[in-house]
Amino acid sequence: MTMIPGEWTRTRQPSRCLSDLALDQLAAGEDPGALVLEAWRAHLRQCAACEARRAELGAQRAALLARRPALALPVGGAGRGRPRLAWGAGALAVAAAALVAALRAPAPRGAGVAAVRLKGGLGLEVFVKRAAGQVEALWPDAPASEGDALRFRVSTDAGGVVTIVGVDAAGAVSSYDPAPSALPVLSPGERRLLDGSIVLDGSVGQERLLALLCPDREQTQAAVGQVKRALAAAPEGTPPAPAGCRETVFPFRKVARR
Amino acid sequence: MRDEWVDGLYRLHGAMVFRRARVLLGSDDLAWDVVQEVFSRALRSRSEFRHGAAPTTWLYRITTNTAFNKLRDEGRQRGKVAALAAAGPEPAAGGETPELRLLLAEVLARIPVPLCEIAVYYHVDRMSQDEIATVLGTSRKTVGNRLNQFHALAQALLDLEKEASA
Repeated sequence: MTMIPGEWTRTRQPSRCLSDLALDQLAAGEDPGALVLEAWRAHLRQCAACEARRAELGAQRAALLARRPALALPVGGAGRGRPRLAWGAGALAVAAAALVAALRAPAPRGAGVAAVRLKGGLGLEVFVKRAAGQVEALWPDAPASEGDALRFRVSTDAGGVVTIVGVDAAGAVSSYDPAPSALPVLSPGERRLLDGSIVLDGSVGQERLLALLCPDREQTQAAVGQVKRALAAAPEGTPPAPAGCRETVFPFRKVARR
Repeated sequence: MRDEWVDGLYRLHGAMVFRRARVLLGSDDLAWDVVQEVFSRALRSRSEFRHGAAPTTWLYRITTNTAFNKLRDEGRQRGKVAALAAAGPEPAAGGETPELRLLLAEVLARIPVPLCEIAVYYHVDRMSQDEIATVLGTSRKTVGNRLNQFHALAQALLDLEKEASA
């Protein structure tokens, strides 16, 4: 086994140190702009840690060139064969540790928190538990299939009562309400995973989920009625948010179960 | 097939592509698969490559996305994910357990690639948000928003896992 000097990634990096990207660009002779280039070079002259890292990356490059398994690039581009490399110990733990630390850390500062689907201060995130048991975040327009269970997380910058309405490919409208008295009440700024889940049936096609947030339970129930009537009249359209309420639409594709 | 242009690209950037794929996948074999795919794609996209962004940033993106696709493919087979998570050495410090690494590998397999991509640049590659914006050709504000989305989704998935196992 050929051990490559240095780590594949840095576990600790002083905040002002150059990234591997910057060092890779320097090694490749790329021009990030005169001012940036001069700043990088000046930093390297003063920073032993970055200079050491630059040397490590150079050693890795030299090791690859020394061993250099041939690329197998057939016409058409698909790879074939797999030359075996036997390089140093894995760095998965390093990556994992960094990301675990990231998950435990407060969210980065800067822009405000945005949900997957956000409109008018009402965010809707959808999570799917596959029939095989795996839980995933569902991305807008992503596929889901019969037997998958959906759960919803709603966030809002204003308080109110929330409900979810589904519209299937045939225009059939379903309300995923519990009893009206149990409609969830959110406080301003709250993000909440709603209780319960829905299990998808076997119909296929483009479906939509509508989150509605209104000031109170009565208005929320009335809004559901308005949305259902609007969809009955124009199944392809997106009904406007009823007066006083907020609405966010989350589209996804219902596909046949594989 | 030999191609001088790709050959030169590989000599200059092959180690970088392998290094980044190896970090993300934790496997020499999978990382080498990524190297093959990345330079095959470069061969197919030669015109785009020459007139596009700097090769390093272009290759960073392709490498990250190709590695994530592999991780997701592997993640759909729980046994392989378990093997992947178990393959890495114990962290020298920090106290993360193999179970936590397994959980992390599965979380990474369930969050949309665009968000994972930014999170890896930020937390693993330790790039600044400005650098990430340059690599992605987007604004720093978008980078910040997507980092927040990643945290929110990852936390929700972890909460769901805990709830399901309780």
